[in-house]
Amino acid sequence: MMMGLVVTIVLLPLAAAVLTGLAGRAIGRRLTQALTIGAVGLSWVLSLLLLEQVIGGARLDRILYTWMVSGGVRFPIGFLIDPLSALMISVVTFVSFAVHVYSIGYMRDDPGEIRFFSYISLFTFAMLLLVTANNFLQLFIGWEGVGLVSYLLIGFWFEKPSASAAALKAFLVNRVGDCGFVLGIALLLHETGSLNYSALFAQAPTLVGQTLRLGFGLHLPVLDLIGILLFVGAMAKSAQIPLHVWLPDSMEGPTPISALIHAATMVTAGIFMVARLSPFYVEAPGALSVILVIGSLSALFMGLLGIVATDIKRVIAYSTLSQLGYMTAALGASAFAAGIFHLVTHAFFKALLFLAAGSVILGMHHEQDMRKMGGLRRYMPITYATFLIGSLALVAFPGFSGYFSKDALIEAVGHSRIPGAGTAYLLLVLSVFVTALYTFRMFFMVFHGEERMDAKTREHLHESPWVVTLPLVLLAIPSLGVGWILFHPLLGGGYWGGGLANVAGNPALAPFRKESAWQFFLGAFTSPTFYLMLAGIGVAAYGYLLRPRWPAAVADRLASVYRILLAGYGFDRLYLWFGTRVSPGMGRFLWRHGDEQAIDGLAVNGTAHGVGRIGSWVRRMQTGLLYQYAFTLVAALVVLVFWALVRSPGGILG
Amino acid sequence: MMSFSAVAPEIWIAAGVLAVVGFEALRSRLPGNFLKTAIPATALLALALALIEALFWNGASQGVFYDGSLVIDAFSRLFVAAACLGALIILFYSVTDMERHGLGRGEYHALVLTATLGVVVIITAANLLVLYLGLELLSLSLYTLISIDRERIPAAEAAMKYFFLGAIASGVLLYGLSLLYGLSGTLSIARLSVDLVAMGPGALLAWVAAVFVLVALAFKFGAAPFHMWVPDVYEGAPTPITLFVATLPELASIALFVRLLSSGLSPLVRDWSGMLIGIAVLSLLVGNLGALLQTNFKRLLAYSAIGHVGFILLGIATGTIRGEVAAVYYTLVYVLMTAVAFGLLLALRARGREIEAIDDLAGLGQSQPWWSLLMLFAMFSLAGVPPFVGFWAKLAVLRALLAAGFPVVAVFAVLMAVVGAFYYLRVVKVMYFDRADHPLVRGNFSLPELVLSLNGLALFILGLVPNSLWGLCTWAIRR
Repeated sequence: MMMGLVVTIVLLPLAAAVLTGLAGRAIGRRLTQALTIGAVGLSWVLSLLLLEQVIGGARLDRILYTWMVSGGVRFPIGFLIDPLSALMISVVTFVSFAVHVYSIGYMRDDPGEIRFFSYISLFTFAMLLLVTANNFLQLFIGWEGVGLVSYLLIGFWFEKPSASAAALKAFLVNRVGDCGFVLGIALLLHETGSLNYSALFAQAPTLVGQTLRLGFGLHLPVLDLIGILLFVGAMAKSAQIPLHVWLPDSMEGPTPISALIHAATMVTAGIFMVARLSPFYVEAPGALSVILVIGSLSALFMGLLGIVATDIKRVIAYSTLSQLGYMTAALGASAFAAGIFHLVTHAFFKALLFLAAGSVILGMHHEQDMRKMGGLRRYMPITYATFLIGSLALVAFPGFSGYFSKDALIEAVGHSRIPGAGTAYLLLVLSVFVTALYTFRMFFMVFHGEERMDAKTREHLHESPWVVTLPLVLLAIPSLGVGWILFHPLLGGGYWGGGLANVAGNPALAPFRKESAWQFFLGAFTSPTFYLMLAGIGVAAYGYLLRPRWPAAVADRLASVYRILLAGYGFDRLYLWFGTRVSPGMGRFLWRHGDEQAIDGLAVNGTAHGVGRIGSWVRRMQTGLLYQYAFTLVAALVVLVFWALVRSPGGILG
Repeated sequence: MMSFSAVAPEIWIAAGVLAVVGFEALRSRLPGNFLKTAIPATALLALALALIEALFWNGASQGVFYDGSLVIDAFSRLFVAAACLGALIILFYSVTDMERHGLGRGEYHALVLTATLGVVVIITAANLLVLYLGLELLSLSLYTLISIDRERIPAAEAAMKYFFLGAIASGVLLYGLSLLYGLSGTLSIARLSVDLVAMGPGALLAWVAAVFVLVALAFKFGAAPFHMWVPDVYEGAPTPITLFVATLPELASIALFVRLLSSGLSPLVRDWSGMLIGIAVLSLLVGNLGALLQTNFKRLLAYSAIGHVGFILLGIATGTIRGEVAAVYYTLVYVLMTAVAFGLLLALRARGREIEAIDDLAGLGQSQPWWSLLMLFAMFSLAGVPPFVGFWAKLAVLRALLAAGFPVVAVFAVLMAVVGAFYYLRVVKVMYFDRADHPLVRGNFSLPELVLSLNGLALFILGLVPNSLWGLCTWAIRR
């Protein structure tokens, strides 16, 4: 019964994607929209049913069938439904549904509209496959599936060179991550002999303290190594330093995609994966430390980049990077529940922000530069209101959903005893100020201040159609309220029921066990983060409302810092240098000396020449002369008879 | 009680021969158009009836018949069915081509039927003399078939070579059989083994006799170093005859090996094993390396046949049931694959004549996408690319080798298969990547098109369900 429900939820979007992908032109855009939206909507409704069953205590961990068996390893297809995956399914299908509806308005008149709808349905399927998997193979299929669709959608407007380049970049960076991910899975398979999560969880405690000999006297703890390798995959997918470079560029894709894939769902796959494997990660403290440090570094330093960006979508993209850093840091502090809580609230308010930004971009006729906006609140009231809700949630204003998850998260890191937690806490607290600064800088630049757009654009400025604003309102509701509802069950541990490790006994989460949402809300006004956040908003208001010349002056004064920020710390240049200079140079060396001389010259061509020589010899033997054939026949007979005589037990030598 | 049901397939084929010869005798009195339809139809009907008889064997009539002459069991029924099916397919593929050359007369059909009859007799033989009878029936028919186009010098040359060498081999075989008879006093293959065991391990003469039999069989199989006739005959004979030579005698040879080894000469298997592996390894080497430099497509297939025989012999050489099943499986698969390759050669024409050089296939991928896809199937399958059925056949032999403890030989076989992949893939490369300076056309080929397509698709479909045919072979050998 439950299995049927899960399979239906997962396969509905696939069916819609295949149908519209293959026959989209034949059935037309109206029917394409109806089919994909219907499928994902139905999936959403069913996912709520599933969630209700899971809250009622139902669980599922079953292999549906074995895809293949190779070398004694079984490759299963199976599903694991527990509080974590049920929550993820609900979030994914809901955001996907909202984005589907929104796309009707946003993608109107685009020639690739049908393709677009087919892609996002396919994405939904892959994402659902990823979150429902009960084994690494299926996780990996979903993982690559979302990566593929992400590539296709970043490069959706492929005639634009920058879009193609961004798609390629995302693809390449994710391959780097996959390299670690696949190695991690392989090592895990080697150690446990199974691809199932349950086998890993069962065996993880027995692997504690074991080391892997890598030669050269190098001994590495197996669990930490697996944990870090898997996390390398998560680093690429969830855009953590230093594999974050693709996410800002991914904004070349259509805005609904930025909301769905590059904010709410796909980029959280890495977070989800680590949380999914939480019973394993708690046994690998070394890996957790790495995760903690990477996450907190990303949170602060990616946020700083948001302060100098001028493209509205890029600012939100940097904020996504920073928020993902927060979630990663929570995972590293082994406060998995807090990380997932922030993942959920972030999915809502970040999707809201992106879609609202999309609404702005629509109104501005695809102008994304904030320096050419300003004062839009008069023209787009609904967008304005929802954007404000999203921004307040993002900066963790008390009462908004982001507050509950983010402040709890920071507090959890503060209470954590994982090595590195002290520094991480400091970075995260500082980053609160940064978040508030860049968020309200964007907010004020877009909606307040003087109107900097040209006259023609101003004439056509108006609120977006209802298919665009309805999803905004739909997403604004959870951005406001979901924190109140989820705070106690998620952080208090009532919801998880053992599905997530380290909820009950974790010192990091101890403070929330008795607190209600109200108490936590009131606690805001005594916490330093609240005042840091207010300071951030204040600075933004000063610089972008009261004294518009001030930011430029600051940038002049701190020119070197400003340049570093504009260049994104030089990651892109470093990778470009490596990709176009070092790597081809090494490649050329290996090609000339390794490949051409050693392998081709000696091994390949050498063998081929040898084989060829024997071949021509065989050919020459074939003279076509009958007496030679007959002679060979008889001679071979004689040799064999002689052999038999020699070899037989009663023979000459026997 | 004497029962004719045991020889029903033989009877149908023989009746077909008589009918075709009868039609031919009355050629002057019967209308030409009638003969043109009636002769092929009769031949096809005879084979179809024989096939049905073999297929609907119910297991009740198992045993040895006619004073120890013929043995009816699962293995012989499976192989008789395979032989009849093979002959049917050959006739389908060749009728148009033979008529184009003015050779589609009664004698062609009659000879194909007698050759098939020879194969069937070899398969069911339980007695050394009957076995020899079948072998000669097959060989004599083949000599004539190869030279059926009397005007063509290469064909006459090929037939002459085949006849001369075949006569030597027959002599060698007969000598070996006579030694065995002299030693044991029996012609029955089944009793032979009992007597050989009774003689104990010191029977030197039995070993020599076994070598003579082995050499003759290796010749019939076209295994190195007795392979010299293969390329010349493949190239010289008309393509339909080459198709016949490449398929049905292989069935007969493997049947002989299985019969003689598993029942007759099993006490000597251990010694056979060494020689067989030597012959098999040499065949793999000669076949695969010889094929590398060939430019003529039929010659390429000839060398490839030698290589495949090497694989089949490796299966036999293990001396285990599993290896025997693998060899039988490989043979059936090989016949299927070869039929597709030659069938396509017959179906396609370049520059108004038959395809001879591999380069004649250039541009086929564009001009004839379906047929080139089938050719690709055949080449991939011959090369042993998964999931085509040829892959499973190679895998079965390799696994049998490993299970029987011949890892070095298995590695060598894999290496040779890699070399083999080169020339098969070259055909694919020529088809798809080389430009054609001439258009390729299809001959007028109507009903056979369907058969050929099914034959080609079978390579793929059987590869997806490899266990079906494998199960059949296991059943036939174990029974």
